Amino acid sequence: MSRSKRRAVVADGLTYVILIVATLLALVPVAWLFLTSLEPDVSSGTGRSSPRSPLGLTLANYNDVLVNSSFSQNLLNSLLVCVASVVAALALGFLAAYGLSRYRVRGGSDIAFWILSNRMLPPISVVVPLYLLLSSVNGLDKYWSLIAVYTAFSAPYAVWLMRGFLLDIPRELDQAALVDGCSPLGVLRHVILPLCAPALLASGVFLFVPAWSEFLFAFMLTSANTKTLPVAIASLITDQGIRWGDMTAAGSLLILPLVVAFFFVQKHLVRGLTFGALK
Amino acid sequence: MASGIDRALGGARERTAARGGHGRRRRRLYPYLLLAPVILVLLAVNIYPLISSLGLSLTDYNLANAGVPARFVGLGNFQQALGDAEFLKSLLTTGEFVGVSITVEFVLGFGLALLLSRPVRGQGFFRTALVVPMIISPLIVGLLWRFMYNYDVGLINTVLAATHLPRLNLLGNPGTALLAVIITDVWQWTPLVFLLLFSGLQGLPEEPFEAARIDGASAVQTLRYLTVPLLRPIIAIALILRGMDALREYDKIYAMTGGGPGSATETISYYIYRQGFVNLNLGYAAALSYILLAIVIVLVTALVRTQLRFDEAER
Repeated sequence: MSRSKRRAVVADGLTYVILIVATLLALVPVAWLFLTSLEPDVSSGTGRSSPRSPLGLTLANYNDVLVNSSFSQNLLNSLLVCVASVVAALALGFLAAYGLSRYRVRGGSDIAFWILSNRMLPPISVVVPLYLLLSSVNGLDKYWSLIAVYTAFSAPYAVWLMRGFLLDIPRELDQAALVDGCSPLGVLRHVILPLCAPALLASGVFLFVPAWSEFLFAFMLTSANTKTLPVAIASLITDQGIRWGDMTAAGSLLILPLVVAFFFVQKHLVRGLTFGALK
Repeated sequence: MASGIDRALGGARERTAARGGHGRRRRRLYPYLLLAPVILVLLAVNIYPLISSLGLSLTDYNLANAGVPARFVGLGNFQQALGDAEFLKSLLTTGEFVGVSITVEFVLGFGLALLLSRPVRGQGFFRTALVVPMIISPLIVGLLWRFMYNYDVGLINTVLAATHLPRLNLLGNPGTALLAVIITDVWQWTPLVFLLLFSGLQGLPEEPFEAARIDGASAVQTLRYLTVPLLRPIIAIALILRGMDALREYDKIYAMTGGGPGSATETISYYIYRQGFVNLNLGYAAALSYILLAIVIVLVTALVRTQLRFDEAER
């Protein structure tokens, strides 16, 4: 084999090795999370190491989490708040994006940028006054306030995602429908909306993921009644330590929908991550 | 402005105008009506609290003194912040966290993207697998790694012990705690940088690289003078996105260390949280959060203005 060919083979081999190592580094912790959730709780203070036995798999942790505690209620809270806020954000975002993409609005790109900048606000800066404001109107630990907050949290993202999709739809379609005597609202309903259905679905998933994982707002603004799943999991952190069995089980439950969602929207991942700025 | 469409609509326009043109005024309002709901929600949930926070930051409001009305202290809170050693330390810690994290994430992410762009088999598989960490909730990532770092039962120490290496207590040691948190952040977000840069690389045109190869450019030269300049917008987006999020990091700190040991891992967001919701010093916390907001605004404006043109992104 010639020298350059040997060098090429070595380079290829090295590439594979690095990629495989990187993949293992990426996946092993997640796999360990799932595995540990299926094993008896190691945090009972006996200092037993080696949670690696393939035998002795048990659903005891899931039983603890779902049956013996309030986690299932927290899961439902999360579901309610996330679905409601995502639907609201999609509706608001779709309308706004349609306005921005179809009409020449004065300062349109400034408005669009301002909307995006909302997403860059540090949550802690908003939470401090929001907490006080909500407590003065009896809005703490209520579904409506959390849904409103999450809607505002998702809306900028929704506007930019939909804007990207809508810009892909040629304006001639609108014009054609208008010429046919359709009202502008009708154009929206009968022409644009059906075309956007898959985009709306994908955007919905993109909005759902960060909302589902959201912690700070929920932590500050909820209590016994509306506590979401991430907050409930965080409450496993006590001064006496953490019950790892419960944590891994609840954590696995929390991320399961995310993993499923990921596989569905893989193709659009880059677009979703850059707020629709890149494809 | 008689465009082709106007001419095509021809008679319809005339007839509407003859009817008094009611449609035209309403038509001009449409975009504002479409934009109004989203703007209202954002104003109500984000802007109104921020304005209220400004007022709050000028008082010494403390939830612990519920009975006593808050006093107006003007810029007193801000003066206090400038002399607050803990606050200044949190700025330093945050700077360290952000700086090291995004640098490592960029280097590793770019490296992986370049590697995967070579003719390798299973590109799709690797791309999917490498991206998994970033979809996990940051809170769970924090807890998971706290578990892995655990001295007795954690994965890392189990492996170390099995290979007869000494166990490590990274999170419990003030000298290494921040590093441990940075490693966790790198684990979670390198995939994001990788994905963005990989997509960018896939979208690059072939011809310049062909030309470079024909001209005998080395791999390093190609990288430096061709690849990186072509990828500049995407690199900028990746760094801005990561920088913004790292600056506001809270979930992982809460999950892994609670700012400790001591204040070794106390970032700005966590310190503000502690002042506002543990010490109940809401007036002071409001002032601090305004300083954070100012920092973020300055950074975003500077970075976006110099690195990106949003109208150009609509390709």
